[in-house]
Amino acid sequence: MLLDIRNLNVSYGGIKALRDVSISFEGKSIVSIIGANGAGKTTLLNAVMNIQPVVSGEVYFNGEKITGLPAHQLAAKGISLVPEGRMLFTHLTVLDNLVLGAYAFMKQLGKKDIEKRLGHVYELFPILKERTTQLAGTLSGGQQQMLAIGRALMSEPQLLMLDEPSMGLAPLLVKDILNVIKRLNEEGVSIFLIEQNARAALKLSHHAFVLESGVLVKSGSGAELLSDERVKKAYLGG
Amino acid sequence: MFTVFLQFLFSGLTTGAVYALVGLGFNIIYNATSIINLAQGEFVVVGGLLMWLFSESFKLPFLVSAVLTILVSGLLALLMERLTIKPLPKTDLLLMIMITVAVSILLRGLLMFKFGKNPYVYPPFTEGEPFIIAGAVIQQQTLWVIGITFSCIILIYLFFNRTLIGKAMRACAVNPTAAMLVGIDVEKMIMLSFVLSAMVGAIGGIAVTPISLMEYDKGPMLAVKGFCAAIMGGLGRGRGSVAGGFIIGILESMTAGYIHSGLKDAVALLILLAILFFKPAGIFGSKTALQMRRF
Ligand SMILES: Nc1ncnc2c1ncn2[C@@H]1O[C@H](COP(=O)(O)OP(=O)(O)OP(=O)(O)O)[C@@H](O)[C@H]1O
Ligand SMILES: [Mg+2]
Repeated sequence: MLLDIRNLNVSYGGIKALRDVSISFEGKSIVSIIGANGAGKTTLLNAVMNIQPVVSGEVYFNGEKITGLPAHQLAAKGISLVPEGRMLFTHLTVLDNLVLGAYAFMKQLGKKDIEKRLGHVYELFPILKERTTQLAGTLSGGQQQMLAIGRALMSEPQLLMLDEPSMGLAPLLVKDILNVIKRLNEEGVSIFLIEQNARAALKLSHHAFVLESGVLVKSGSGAELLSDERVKKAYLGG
Repeated sequence: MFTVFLQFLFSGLTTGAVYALVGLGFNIIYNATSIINLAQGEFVVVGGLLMWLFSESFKLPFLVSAVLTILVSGLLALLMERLTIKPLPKTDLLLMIMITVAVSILLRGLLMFKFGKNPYVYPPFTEGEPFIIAGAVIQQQTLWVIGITFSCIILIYLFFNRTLIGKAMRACAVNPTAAMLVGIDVEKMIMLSFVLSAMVGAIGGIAVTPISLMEYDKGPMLAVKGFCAAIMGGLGRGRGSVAGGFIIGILESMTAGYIHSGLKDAVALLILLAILFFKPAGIFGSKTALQMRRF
C-alpha cells in the first residue's frame, strides 16, 4: 500500500472530527474523498501530514509508520499537501515560494535540478513563469492556487494530496486544474484529492470514499459512486 | 551655531545606531516568528558587560574578547529559546511575548548579581585624535559604531533576501504550517532567529560601551527605543527600523540639546504614540504588511 490509514480518530476539544477512519490505496491512482462541509476532510489530510495531532490510529506510507513524525520530515519522504486555503508565503516572491517548495531536498539538489523542477512547474502553469518576481500575496486567486500546487510539486512527491484545489475558482479554471491533476497522475504521481465539485472529482477518480460527520460511509470506484442513488442525492444534486 | 547642531547630530547618530541595531534584532525574531522579544535590550547590555569581562578583567586580546562575547550572547539566547519559548504552544503569541519580559527581568537580575550597579567602560577600538568637522568633534569610536551598524544591516539584509535559509526563516513567520509542509524545521528556525538577534544586540553593546558606558539596567530603555524604531520603520522591515533608529537617536539628541535633557526619553514614546495613531503601518511599512500581521 502506498498510503494506509488505520482507525484514525481525531478530536477538537471534546468534539470528534474523525471516528475510526481507515483508508488505504495503492500507488499511481487518483483517490478522492467527497463529503459535506464539516465532514472532516481537511482534518483527515492534516492528520496524515501530522499538522493535526491524532487521538489514536496510525498512518503508514510505503509501509513505514509516519504517525508522530514531525511534519517537516514528511515532505522528504515523498508526500506533499496543497493545503486548504493555499497557505502561500505571501510576503515572498513567486520564485521564492517555488524554490522553498523543494526545501526538504535542498541538500541533495543542485542548481540544475531546481531549474529542471521549476521548468516542469512552468510548463504546467505558464503564467507563473511571467510572475516570478511578483509577491505571492498579490497574485489572483487562480494564480495563487497554481502557485500552491506548483510549490507542492517542487518536492517531486510520490503522493500529492490536494485539499479543495478548485475552491473559489471560475469553472473554466477548475477544469484546467483538474486537467493538470489528471496529467500529473499520468506522469506517475499518486493523487489524494478532496473536492467540492463531487461530480468532477468522481469522474476523475479511480477510487473514492464518502465521509459523513467524521465517519466513512461508502467507498467504491468513481463510476460506482457516480451511479449510487444515495451519493447522487446527497452530493450530485439529484 | 552650526557647530553645536553638528555636535548634537553626531551624538544622535551614535545612540541612533544602537537603537537601529536593537530594532533590527526585533525584526529578525519578528520575521521568523511574529514574536516581539522584549529581552532584546538586555542582549546589548550583555554584549557590553561581557566584552568588559573578557577584555578588561580576563585581559584577553580585543578580537578574542569580541568573538567570545558574541558567541556567549548567542548561546544565552539559545538557552532562553530552548527553556522558555520552545515549550510553549506556538499558537499563543501573546503568552510568548510575556515570557520574553520575564526573561528580560531574569537577565537583569543575573547581570546585577554578577556586575553590580556600577557603569562599566573600556577603551575605544582605536586610539587617536577625534576628527573635527566644521568645529564639531566626532570620536573615532562613533565612526566604528556607525560602520559596524551598517555592516550588520547589510549582512542581515543579504541573509534574509539572498540566502535560502533566510527566506525559509521568513516563510516560518508568514505561515509556520506551510513552512513545515515544505520541510522547514520551524523550531530550528525560531531558535536560529533568537541566536542571531542576540548576536546583533551584543555587537551593538560591544561597539557603544566605550562611548556611552554600560550598566546592568540599560536594557528596558534600549528595548523601548529599539521597539519604537522597529514600529516606526514598519515592523518586519529591516531598513525601515534602521532609519527609525537613527531618526529617534537624532531627535533625542536635538531635544536634549535645544530643549531639555529631561525630555529626551519622552521623544521616542511620543513618536511611538503618534505612529500608532496616525500611521500604524509605520513610515516605511505598507498597508498590506499591516493586514498580514498576526496581532
Ligand atoms: N481548529 C478547530 N477547532 C475546533 N473544531 C474544528 C477545528 N477545525 C475543524 N473543526 C471541526 O471539525 C469538523 C471537521 O472539520 P474539517 O475542516 O475537517 O471539515 P471539512 O470536511 O474539511 O469541511 P469543508 O468542506 O468546509 O472544508 C467540523 O465540524 C469543524 O467545525
Ligand atoms: Mg476542508
